[in-house]
Amino acid sequence: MQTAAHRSIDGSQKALASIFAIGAALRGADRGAADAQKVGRRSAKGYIGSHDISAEARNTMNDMAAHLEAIGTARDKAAFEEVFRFYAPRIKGVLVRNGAGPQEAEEVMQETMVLIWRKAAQFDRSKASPSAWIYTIARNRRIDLLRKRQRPELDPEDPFFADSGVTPDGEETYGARQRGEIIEEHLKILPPEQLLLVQKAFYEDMTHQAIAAELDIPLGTVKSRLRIALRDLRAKLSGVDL
Amino acid sequence: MITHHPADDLVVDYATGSLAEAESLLVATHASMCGECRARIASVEAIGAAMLDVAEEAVVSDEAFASVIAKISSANDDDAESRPVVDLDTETRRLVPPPLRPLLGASLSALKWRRAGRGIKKAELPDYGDHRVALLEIRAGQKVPTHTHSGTEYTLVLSGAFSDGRSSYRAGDVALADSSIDHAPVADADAPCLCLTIQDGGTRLTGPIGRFLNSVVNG
Repeated sequence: MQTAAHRSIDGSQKALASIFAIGAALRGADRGAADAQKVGRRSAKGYIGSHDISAEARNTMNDMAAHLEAIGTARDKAAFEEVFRFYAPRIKGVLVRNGAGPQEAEEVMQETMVLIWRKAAQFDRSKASPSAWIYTIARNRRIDLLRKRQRPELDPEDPFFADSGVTPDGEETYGARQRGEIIEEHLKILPPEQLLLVQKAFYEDMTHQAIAAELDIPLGTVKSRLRIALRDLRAKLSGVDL
Repeated sequence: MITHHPADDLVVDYATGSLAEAESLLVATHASMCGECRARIASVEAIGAAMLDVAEEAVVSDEAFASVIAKISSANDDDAESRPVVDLDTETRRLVPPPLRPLLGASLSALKWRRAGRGIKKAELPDYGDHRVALLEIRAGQKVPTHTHSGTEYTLVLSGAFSDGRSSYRAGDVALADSSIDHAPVADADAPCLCLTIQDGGTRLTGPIGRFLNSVVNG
């Protein structure tokens, strides 16, 4: 079983901790964006140091959030086309890169887009970025197609959660939807082999062992590369005061 | 206050979509009760999202767009969830987190409970993946006879609490037991303890004779 394989790997706990650290930092950026929109905190906190965040990419995320809202409230097909043009090639790209056959990638992509249309009213930009919301839909859709049964799914709207105490962890430090830009910049400067491993760890049903087999490199090398990749990524993110 | 959470690897695998079915059920049910783990899951998903943002774009044909538009324009396009709706009573909805509900098929009081030792009731739920899933209700103050496990067993406390001599487990806590652990849990004295148990079968015999033997061995 995969999880047992994970557990048996020395140092995987550190890599896992790095994953949580990076993710929490990214979520901080998201919450920062949501808060900034609500109470205008952007100017108080400022941008990440001297980092020059692309206004264009930031606007794209804000646009996508607005499009999802337009779909949810007004069944706006023009907005849906914008979302489709932006996300469909990316969803398919991720699937193809991760070994899905052309037909499977096409099917998951199309079904994900249909679900985006149907579920758009549930999108809440204060809770998730458009990409995070769409990522979970695509992930669950792929799992559901691979299995006969539906994935046990967390529905944040369920009243069951009302008193179970969700407290955001940590203070946000960003004033805009900069998550994508941040990770993009840092992924770009990772050595290609480290980038590949991080991506594989995320997008494939693969144990480290399987990664090693596929790339034909020793397991120890996979572990150390993954560890280094995650550590570097975290270092780069912390270097900009995440 | 939840103090026993699923391990990091389970949470990461859940969030990336590579966790086995039964363990996904455990993580989802636990996270329904645990804001901290919902935040952990969301953290991992944030990385998945960032990777989606930077993904290399594949070619998407105009036909694909037309096909999706046709699907969303069709008459039966509404928010109908395909998830089966089970009519559960208030008590069940209070105690059983949403991800677990589809497995019940009926309210707690209507499940087929059978005695599984003194002061212990057990309701078997349908097998999940290659795991056996059950609800266990231990009477307040009841001690479960010392036992060990042939495979791995996760126990998630849904209400009440128990102790196994080393740790206390309260609502939302996950206990992991395997063959290395010999334990005799005791339910807290003030209330019955309702638990979800997810057990990997170890060796299971599946032929006609094997099924008979399983029924003898596993009760």
